[in-house]
Amino acid sequence: MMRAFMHTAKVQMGLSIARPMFKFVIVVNPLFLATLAFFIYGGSSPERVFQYVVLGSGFMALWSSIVYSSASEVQRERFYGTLELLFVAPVSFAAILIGKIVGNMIWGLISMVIAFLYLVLFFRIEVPAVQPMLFFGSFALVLIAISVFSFFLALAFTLSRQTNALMNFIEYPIYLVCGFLFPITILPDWVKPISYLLPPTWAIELLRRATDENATWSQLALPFSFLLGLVLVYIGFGYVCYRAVEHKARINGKLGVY
Amino acid sequence: MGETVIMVSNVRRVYKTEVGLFKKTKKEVEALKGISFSINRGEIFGLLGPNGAGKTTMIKLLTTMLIPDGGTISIMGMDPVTQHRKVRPHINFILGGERNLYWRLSAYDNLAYFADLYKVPRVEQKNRILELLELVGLEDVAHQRVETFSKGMKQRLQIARGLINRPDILFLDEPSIGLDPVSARRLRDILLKLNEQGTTILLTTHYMYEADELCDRIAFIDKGQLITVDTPENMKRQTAGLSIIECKLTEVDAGKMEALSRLPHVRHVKQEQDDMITTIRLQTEMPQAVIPAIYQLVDETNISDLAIMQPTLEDVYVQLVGGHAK
Repeated sequence: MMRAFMHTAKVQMGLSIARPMFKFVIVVNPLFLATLAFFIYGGSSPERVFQYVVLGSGFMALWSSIVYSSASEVQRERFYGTLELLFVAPVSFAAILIGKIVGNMIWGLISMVIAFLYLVLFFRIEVPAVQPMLFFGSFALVLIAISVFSFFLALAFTLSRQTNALMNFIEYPIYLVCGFLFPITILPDWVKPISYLLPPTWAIELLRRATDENATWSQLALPFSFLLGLVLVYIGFGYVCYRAVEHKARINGKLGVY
Repeated sequence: MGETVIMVSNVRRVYKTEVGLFKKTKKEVEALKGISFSINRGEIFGLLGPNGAGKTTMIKLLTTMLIPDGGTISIMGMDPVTQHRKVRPHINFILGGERNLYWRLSAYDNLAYFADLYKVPRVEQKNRILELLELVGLEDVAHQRVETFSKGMKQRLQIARGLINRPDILFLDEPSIGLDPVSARRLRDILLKLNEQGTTILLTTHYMYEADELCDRIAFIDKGQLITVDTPENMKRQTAGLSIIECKLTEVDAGKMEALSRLPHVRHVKQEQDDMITTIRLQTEMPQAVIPAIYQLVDETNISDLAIMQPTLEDVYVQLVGGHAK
């Protein structure tokens, strides 16, 4: 199982980066997003610039890579004619999906690093002296949360043939609803409950607090607890959905139809 | 008779679709209407039928991709509906066409990936992949990207992929579709070799000579129903007393074709156009009476060749599945 998982991640990285659109999303897109974010927040305090420009654009880059890869990967497999092969392989289909997500997550991280280096080198953004334990501990949870969320999207796309439409539909709303560029406090009240139910909202909030030079565990407790809670709920719900999708796909019989 | 490895009993499968944007109407298509047959260990079993007969649906049910709406299936004593995880390591399948591979990976990398998905131990992987590449004649291009391959090479790589777990049962859905005669011959040789090594094979095909050459037994299905199951030899015996008149014409019109099909003693007429020559095959029990009638209907100078032949499996198929097409 572990070998198949690792191999899937490796194959996925190779297949994804072979696509010109994905290269653009990973290498060029973060530069545009970072520039845009800098023009919005350039005049703010260094701390705010880091939290909204570096983290905001980094998260947008990560999210774009996930939307254009992990989520839509199922549709691409359908087009290659390999989705059915993966589905009936002895290795669990879930392990394959997660392997794909991890492969693309690595590219997403590279994209974040590109955005970070671009901002530091070209716009001379100050990097706060983060506390390594707090920052990297939070970052690990954030990556798990984003992976679990991607798994959900991939499951939805396993059953739906309208992936391209869904993919384009969800990219920008998530930027806004999850507060990548703006605090969610400025959103209308009826949108906020949706924001609170989405792991990326708490993920970016956690990282913003973790990049505060004077951060303490107690300051991170709220976003950390909510994110951890949501991750556990999503994992439990994801397991149930996975079983349902696995069964439904065998009833619908549309894995090979694109 | 060998041990039964596949048992299909009264299997039904319905596809449900919704049509319309706002006012959705449900549409049901019954792909299989209660089919039963069994396959013995070591057999090559052919599933033949026209487009839409239900062949691919049957393969998908047997390979755990689909769940039947009725009836039961047993694969090596296991139920593929509830025990799909146990069934999958013992089987593999190959679908016709050029898809079903990662074109941006090399042939070797494709096989290495599927070897891990089929839990082939790493120590065995390298030798097995090289063996399979040699079997399908792709050892010289092992590290070339699949996108540079011809259709026949991709098809052969699919065969290698389908054998990566040394399956007890191999399912092939129209494996020779679109292949040139040499590649198709090579494919048949590979399948016969596999069968000699003990692999049970179920294949669907439109090519009757392929089924005739490969299969121990054949099932004809049409519109989701089983027409007959037997050996090719027994099937051909069903046409005892029947002869085929094959006539090549340089010129023939629709009126004359109609007249030929109405001749007494003619049971079926099939027409094939090949460049300037039209080949017609007439099934009859009395060729001695039909041949003079052909000469009366068609100008003698238009007949470039005429021969009386023994019926082939195709003629049995036409009689059983397309008999109404006269």
